[in-house]
Amino acid sequence: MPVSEPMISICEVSKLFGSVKAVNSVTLDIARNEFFAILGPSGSGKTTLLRMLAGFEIPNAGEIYVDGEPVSGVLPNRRPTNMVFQNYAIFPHLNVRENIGYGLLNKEMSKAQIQKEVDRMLELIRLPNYGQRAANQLSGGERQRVALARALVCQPKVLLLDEPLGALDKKLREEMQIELRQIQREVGITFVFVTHDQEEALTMADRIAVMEDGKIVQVDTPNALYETPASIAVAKFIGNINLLPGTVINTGEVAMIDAGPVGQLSVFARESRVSSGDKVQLAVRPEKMQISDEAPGDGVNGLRGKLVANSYAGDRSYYFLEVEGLSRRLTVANLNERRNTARAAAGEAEEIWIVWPIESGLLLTS
Amino acid sequence: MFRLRAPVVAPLILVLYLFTLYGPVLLLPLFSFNDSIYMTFPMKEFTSKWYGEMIQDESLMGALWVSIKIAVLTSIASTIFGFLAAKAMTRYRVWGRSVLFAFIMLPLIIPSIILGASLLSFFRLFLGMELTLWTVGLSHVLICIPFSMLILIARLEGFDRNLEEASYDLGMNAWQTFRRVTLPLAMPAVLASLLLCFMVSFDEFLLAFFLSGNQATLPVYMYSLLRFPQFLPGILALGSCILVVSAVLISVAEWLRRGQAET
Repeated sequence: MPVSEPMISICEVSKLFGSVKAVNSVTLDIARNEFFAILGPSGSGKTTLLRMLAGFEIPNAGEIYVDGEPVSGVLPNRRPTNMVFQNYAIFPHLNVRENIGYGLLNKEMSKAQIQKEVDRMLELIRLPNYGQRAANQLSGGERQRVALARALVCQPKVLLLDEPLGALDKKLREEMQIELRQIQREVGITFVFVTHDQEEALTMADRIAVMEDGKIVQVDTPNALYETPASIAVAKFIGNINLLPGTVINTGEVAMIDAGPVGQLSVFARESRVSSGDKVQLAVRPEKMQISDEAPGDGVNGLRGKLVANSYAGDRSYYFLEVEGLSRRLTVANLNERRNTARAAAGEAEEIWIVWPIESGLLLTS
Repeated sequence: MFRLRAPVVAPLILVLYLFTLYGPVLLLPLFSFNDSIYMTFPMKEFTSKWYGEMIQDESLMGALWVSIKIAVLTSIASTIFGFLAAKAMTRYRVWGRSVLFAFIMLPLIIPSIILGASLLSFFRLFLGMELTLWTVGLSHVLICIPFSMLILIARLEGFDRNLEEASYDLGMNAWQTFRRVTLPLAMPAVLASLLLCFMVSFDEFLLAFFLSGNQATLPVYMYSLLRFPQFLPGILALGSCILVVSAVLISVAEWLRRGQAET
């Protein structure tokens, strides 16, 4: 998806550490006011990419443009970017007010102006009475907000966030996900954040770039990334997915797959470019499969499987099933819509149907 | 079966240990109040006249002043160099880091007498310098830098380098970052280094003995007086004063060094 007049334009940027290519010829445009996530496992080069945007690392090749200006030769303190560090890096010798006002100290502002800006920020992060607190009196969530305010007070064109919620516990993380989005809407600044947590990326970002081994493997909206991953790697990294190997028999609106011992399966294949004889993987998300006592009808695939384990998660249950002829177990996630509908793993003997409509499947080539 | 219980034995050992360690040192203040020029028991009358004589003794006070000047300058210079070395060791990818580190630490391991002799020939024969208080000071800086660097490395490694990056990121240049973030955070270690280097220099005898010209530092001057019993009480009095001051300084340095662990 081309972005017109991007805020950030990364052009064929590479970064070497010794002989290791931490970032390998990455090209990426980020739009104005976008909430953009760079998602990847640790060691995928995502933090290095973010540090190059901030100016802490210099690319070995390629160029980064922020608002149309090349920034490779620009020092971190002269860039129109500010960063929220992973551990927040709150100055321990300064109080909250001094921390937030830090970036304004060498601007041409009177003390009163600085105080006003700091007050505005304290309002924004909803900690209006925290000005005099010492840094070590803050909880994790408060530190994060102070770090956010300290960066935003400088009115950057781009705010960079390194694993912004990584240090928080689950409940606080969920609150902050919503709050970060609200703040981003309020200030109208481009946010770029790095995370290894796919749920965090899916819930917060407008668009996500998935990185692996220093390369970007897919850039898309959360919805597109989850529903139509471009590769098996992306599909596996974002959420869980069941993979059924097979060979294409015929193509068209609905493709038929010969899945070997488990028989033939069909799938909507309008968008996938496969031809007969291709080795493919039929990919189905766990929540798009159902377990059922009844045999599937028209337009629905079905497999007979044995329920070998289950895991009850309150609102939903995960079922793990073995299908004769498949090396991997299938995972099915079903909502517990009514009380006491969750099934227990009922011993080896019970055979059950695993069913999914043909439009729920996706063809991926390895 | 008879067993000595630890609660009985341990305090005994401790008392014995402390007595062996500090007993001889405590003789100094004890005899400084004794109305006799000989350090022998039984003691004579109590007197504080030696303290008065000590203050009157111009050459003794002169030597004390010389030592204080050298120690102050040494501690400042070594702390500055130690800071730079510590910063290089902890923040930059220095070529041959461990070799460099070993070289800076070397003066701690070389016996002072060898260091003194070689510095003497270096200054006199090689550089053709006159022996002055500057040569003493230079040699003291050499042996103080390792202490200073070690204290400061511990501190600089102890605080998150993201703090300095955050400062750059918020628009500060290298000097502003140093002044507003690095130095305030390293301050306890800087003060500890200043105090420790002061003590090391103030107390140093061998290098000063080799490298001082006409003006002697206090330890060298005291040593030269030891042959004359009539000067001994004055030295005892001054020694007692120094003992008290050093104990206070070292306690403060240690207190600062520990306090920093909490930030």
